[in-house]
Amino acid sequence: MRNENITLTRGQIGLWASIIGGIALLMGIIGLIWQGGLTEIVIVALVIGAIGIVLWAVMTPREFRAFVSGRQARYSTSAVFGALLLIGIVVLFYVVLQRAVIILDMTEGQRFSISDETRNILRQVTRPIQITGFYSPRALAQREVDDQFFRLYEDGSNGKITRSYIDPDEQPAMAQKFGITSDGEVFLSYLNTDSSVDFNTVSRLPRSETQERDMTEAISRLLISGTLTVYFDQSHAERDPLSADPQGLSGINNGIRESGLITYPISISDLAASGGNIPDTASAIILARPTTDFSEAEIGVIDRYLQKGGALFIMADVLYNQDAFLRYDGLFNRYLWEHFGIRALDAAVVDEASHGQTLLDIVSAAIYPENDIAKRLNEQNSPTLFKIARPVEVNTSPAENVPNGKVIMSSPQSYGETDLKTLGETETYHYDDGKDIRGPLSTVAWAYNRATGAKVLLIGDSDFATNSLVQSGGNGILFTDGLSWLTGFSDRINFAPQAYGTGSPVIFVDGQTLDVISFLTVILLPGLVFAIGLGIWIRRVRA
Amino acid sequence: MTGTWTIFRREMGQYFTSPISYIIAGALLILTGLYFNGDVAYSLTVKAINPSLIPDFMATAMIFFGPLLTMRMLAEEQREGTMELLLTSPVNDNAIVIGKFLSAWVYYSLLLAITFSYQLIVARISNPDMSHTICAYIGIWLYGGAALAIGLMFSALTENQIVAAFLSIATLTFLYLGDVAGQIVTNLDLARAIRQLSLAAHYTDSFAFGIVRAEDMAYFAGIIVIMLFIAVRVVESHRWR
Repeated sequence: MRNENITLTRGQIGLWASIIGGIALLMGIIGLIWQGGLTEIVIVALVIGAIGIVLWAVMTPREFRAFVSGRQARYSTSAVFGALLLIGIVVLFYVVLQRAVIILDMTEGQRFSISDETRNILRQVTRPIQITGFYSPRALAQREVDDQFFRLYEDGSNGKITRSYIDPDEQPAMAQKFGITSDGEVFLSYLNTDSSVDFNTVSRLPRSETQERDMTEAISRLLISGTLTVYFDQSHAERDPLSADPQGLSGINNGIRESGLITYPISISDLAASGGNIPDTASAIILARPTTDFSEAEIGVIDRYLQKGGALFIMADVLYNQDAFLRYDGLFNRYLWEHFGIRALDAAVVDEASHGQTLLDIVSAAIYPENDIAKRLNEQNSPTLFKIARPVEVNTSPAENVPNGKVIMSSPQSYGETDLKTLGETETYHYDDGKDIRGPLSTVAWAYNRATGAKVLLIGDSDFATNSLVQSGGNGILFTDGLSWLTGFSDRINFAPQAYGTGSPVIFVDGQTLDVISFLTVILLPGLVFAIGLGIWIRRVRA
Repeated sequence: MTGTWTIFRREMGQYFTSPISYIIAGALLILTGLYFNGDVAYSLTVKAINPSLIPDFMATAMIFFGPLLTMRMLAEEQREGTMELLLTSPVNDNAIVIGKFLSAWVYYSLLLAITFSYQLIVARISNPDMSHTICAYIGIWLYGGAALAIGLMFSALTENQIVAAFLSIATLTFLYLGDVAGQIVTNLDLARAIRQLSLAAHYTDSFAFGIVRAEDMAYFAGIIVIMLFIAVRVVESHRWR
């Protein structure tokens, strides 16, 4: 083995000290910025850097002096400072433009601009509203895309609407408070005077392709929240709006509340007994399957309310008791017929064409979309499903100023079974010519008094609105849109929606055309470019 | 200005007389053509063709295509010793860098213009949102300019073309992947900061959707100006190093 002496000169030590010191110093500064403070690693890097620089200055003082004060240092320092100054100017310019929100929407349908209808609604915002988005770093790209849309609302409301983003991973308690279930959820709420979220007004923003419609409707709901009140009568053993049982109505009750409406129970019997009136603030009264009929005094309470432009949502089931609600010859049924030209019939709809479990499962066969109630309903995509439905009759020659109409019809194969006693006792039915009512039968009807503004919606079923069935087909839509029509809710939030992807035409071409396109784009176009290149190469070779 | 024009003409002349430029252009057109045909076949009777299809593809392709165009520009001058000739010729450093940059950008613009012919084909068989497409093209044109400026800066830093290309690709990849910073970095603020620096984010969030944001234009213009400034300073350093 041969011993080799390793000789280190001062120059080499100085060189390596400058390299190691420089790198360590750079890493220390980056670490300092990255971690926002002095951590152990940052301190170690800075110390190594300092030692390296000192060693460099001691071992090769001439090189060090030249670096610090020489011509190279002067030029490079001015270049670095020049570059830093330029970067600073560019960043400043960028930030100013970012805050100015200057956007040009070049899409044909102006999909990233807010419509005039939305701007009208935004002008009505007086109390600060906050858009709260929950985005983890994984949903950052989605947040940035959403943010530019939310910025339009902030801008359009002159800052009355603000944006706030929360990382659910960093603030799980806040995420839990809002009840978030997935990344990228967005909520809308009023702000209190201390800029905290008013949790009584928090509503989740739906996610669909109609982004502007969803957002503007949510803002509209917030604006009208608390201004519309709906009462559930509870004096005739109606369905319970607070019950979460399958037969309860908690689903629709919660839905109404989430839409910004207030719901309260009311007892029409008590009001009748005390000579009281339904509050003037009542936007609608819901009679969700009363089991017994209304007395004259109770009808008087309802009449006084309707005379003042009230709205009545009646769900009448097939009942088998003596004093059943809306008996054909009962007082209330007669009142409805005389004043609004609609009434319930003492029968149960049996539909031979039904695809349900029994022929008493009535699926809407025909829908009349003339009225707002049925505009979103559709026989194919959103049919309604009633259980043991009651037919309702509509006077085709209604009183002047009181138009009425049918909303939903059963199939032509249906009939109205009038033998309710047998049906109730044995659950059997069969068509008796001359006795039963021949279909198709109307199961939902509306009436509107133009003079008083009173509205009545009569539905021959209440099961459709229960927790067990409200999600079936168009049942939820029927209830929601029925109530919207009665309260005027829809008039206050409806506007022409804009949607992503609207009007983008699908392409239809035959195979031959496809082949031509492939030839043009994959062979001819690149081939021409290659051919020109080849020509130039040949010319150069020959030259 | 005259100096810039002189350099620009010289560089453009090189592009149009070099078979390599045509090979690069042809290869890119094959790739974009295949991509376009793939989307047409996929969209058939199902959906509309993506209006920003080719610009979206170019956003990725520029990671490699940009350095291919710029890697030789200043590195070759240094390696072959012609940099000294250039520096002693009656053109200033700004003219050298800007002239070379403009020539690369114009060449890139011509290629983009050729790919726009696909949209004319789409217009024949469908009714696409042309203004959306034009917006995406504006975005990718600016994006390409920024990518070329970065490539040119690295070409100025070294005399080795491979090193210049490698450094450019690495930087462009970083700036491209910054768009998905949130998938990698758990700190939201840091992820946002990285994303703000990313080339792709300033294209995918706006131009690709059919909207032009002033801040994105400022970003691309800013990147171009900063990179060219650095490149000029590096070229200038040959005078005093």
